[in-house]
Amino acid sequence: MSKADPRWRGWRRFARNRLSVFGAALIALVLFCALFAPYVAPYPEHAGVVVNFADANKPPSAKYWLGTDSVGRDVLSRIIFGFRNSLMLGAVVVSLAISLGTIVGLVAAYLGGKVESVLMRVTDIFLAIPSLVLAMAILGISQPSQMLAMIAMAVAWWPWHARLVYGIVRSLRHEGFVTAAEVVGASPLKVMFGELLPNCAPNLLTKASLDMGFVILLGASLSFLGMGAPPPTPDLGTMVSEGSQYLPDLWWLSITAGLAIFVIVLGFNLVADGLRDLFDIVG
Amino acid sequence: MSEPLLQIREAAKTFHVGSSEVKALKGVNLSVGKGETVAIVGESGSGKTTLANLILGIEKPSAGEIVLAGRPLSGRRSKADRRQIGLVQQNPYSTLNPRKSIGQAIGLPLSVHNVCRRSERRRRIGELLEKVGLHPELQDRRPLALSGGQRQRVAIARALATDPELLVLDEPTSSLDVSVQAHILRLLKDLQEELGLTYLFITHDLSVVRVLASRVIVMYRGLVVEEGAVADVFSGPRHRYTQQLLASIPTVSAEDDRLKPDWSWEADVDSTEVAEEGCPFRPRCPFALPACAAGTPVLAGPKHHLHACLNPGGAPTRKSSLELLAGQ
Repeated sequence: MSKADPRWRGWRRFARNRLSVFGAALIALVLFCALFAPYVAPYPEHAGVVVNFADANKPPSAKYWLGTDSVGRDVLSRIIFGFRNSLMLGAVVVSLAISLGTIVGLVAAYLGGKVESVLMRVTDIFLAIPSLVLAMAILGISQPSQMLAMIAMAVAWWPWHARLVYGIVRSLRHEGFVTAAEVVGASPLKVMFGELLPNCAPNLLTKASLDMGFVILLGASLSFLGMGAPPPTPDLGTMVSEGSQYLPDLWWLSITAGLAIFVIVLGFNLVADGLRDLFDIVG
Repeated sequence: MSEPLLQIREAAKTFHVGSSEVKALKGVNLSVGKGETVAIVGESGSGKTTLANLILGIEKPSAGEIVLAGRPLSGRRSKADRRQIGLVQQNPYSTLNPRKSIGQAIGLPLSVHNVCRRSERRRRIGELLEKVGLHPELQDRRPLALSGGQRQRVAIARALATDPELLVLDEPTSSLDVSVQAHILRLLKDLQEELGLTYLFITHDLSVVRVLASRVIVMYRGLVVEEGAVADVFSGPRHRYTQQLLASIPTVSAEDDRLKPDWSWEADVDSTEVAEEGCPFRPRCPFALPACAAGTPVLAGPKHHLHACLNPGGAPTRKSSLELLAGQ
């Protein structure tokens, strides 16, 4: 049996769900735009500080497909650059949250006892505070910046991963293969990361791709509240919030940026569905 | 007699559940000679699994000691000590990590103990698989692709990976199809002859005991109540619990039924009653004497057949339970 074989079968299983393939295509498109933004965007210079009052507040037209904002910048170009920001934000926050949450959940469930009580109570405390409020509280400490926003969101997000991993590992803790590894003399680290973690991977991957959507939304909310990336960085959330001042006359500002967020979130959610189907059978 | 491979001296284990204590083992003595097959039988809660966990180092004894090949095992186990003991577990559907290939499962003990160089590992895993009657190419497959019997063979191969002296087999056949059980038992027997292994069987399947074991140890509520050569114990059980246990082997003919003990062994007694003092079987025993409540009976009798009963059943005059089993 060749190595490519199970992967091919996995893809077939994933592809059986048409919607998740559509989601993957959406993400691929967004990713492509984000990576090659300077080449894809019709007016790449509009991502920065550009003032062009001659073309300000223009509705969608052949020249500016999605119209222009109040200082005359092309909305489409800014959305394409905004994808960069959103994807990076999602990727950084989700990977930080997964790393921290996984370690906490794994250690708590495997070691048990006092370690478990302390770690899981701390997790519960974090869970008790709404993510947005927690992130805002952290951001309130100092000047808003993209980096701080990402750290704040990761801090708000990791407890969910800790809970997820904790639940899985708790149920596997006394499975035969764990005992077998312990009897052989495998170190706790080896048992946790070599034996138990691979069994969490499917759920973590599925949750990660769901979270990408939610985290991007949370990031957009923070930007909307003026706590995200400072201007002139093109940020989808900021664009929605700024555009909302001009509703309903300059409708394209908020609606297009909002649709862009919707596309990313939808793409990741559809892929998450497909991933869940994929791992369900093997699990 | 040469020095026994495994010796357990006065092993006791008490679990603390909330504020109450559960005495899982109350001072068990046991010795297993090299190349021997010893079966430990008993009902749930008899302490047989706790005993196995002490031997494997999963639990620490509250008292007593475990001696392996002359070296007492206490505190943290050294890798050399761990290598000497292999484990085959009950449920082959949970003993293999579903996310890892067969080769990775067998490779774990090889890498933990540095049995062979990384480049040789694949070949070594193949050899181990062949030893248990599986195709070496199977090492790239996931457990999901294997049947229960095949998985149990993989578990045996994994247990053999470190060239252990002693294999602890915890109900190795009880979750397998009857037709597969025979194959696994034959494999175990062949491996024992080939590699000179010592087996410690934990089981409640008495027909497995008869086929494979040379000596049997009957446990009840954390104590050894009877111990002896399989033929002796099966043909003339002395302790009332052993008699009851052997009598509970299902029979199909009236002729067989006549061989059952002449006392009401079937009487459903409230077995939840725990005797704090004296013989633990006393609440269920129709032959209990006042003396039974005084102190825990100690193992007594000829060396090849010990029993801990103050009012034991006599040597049988009837056709023995062993023949009864053979007749099935």
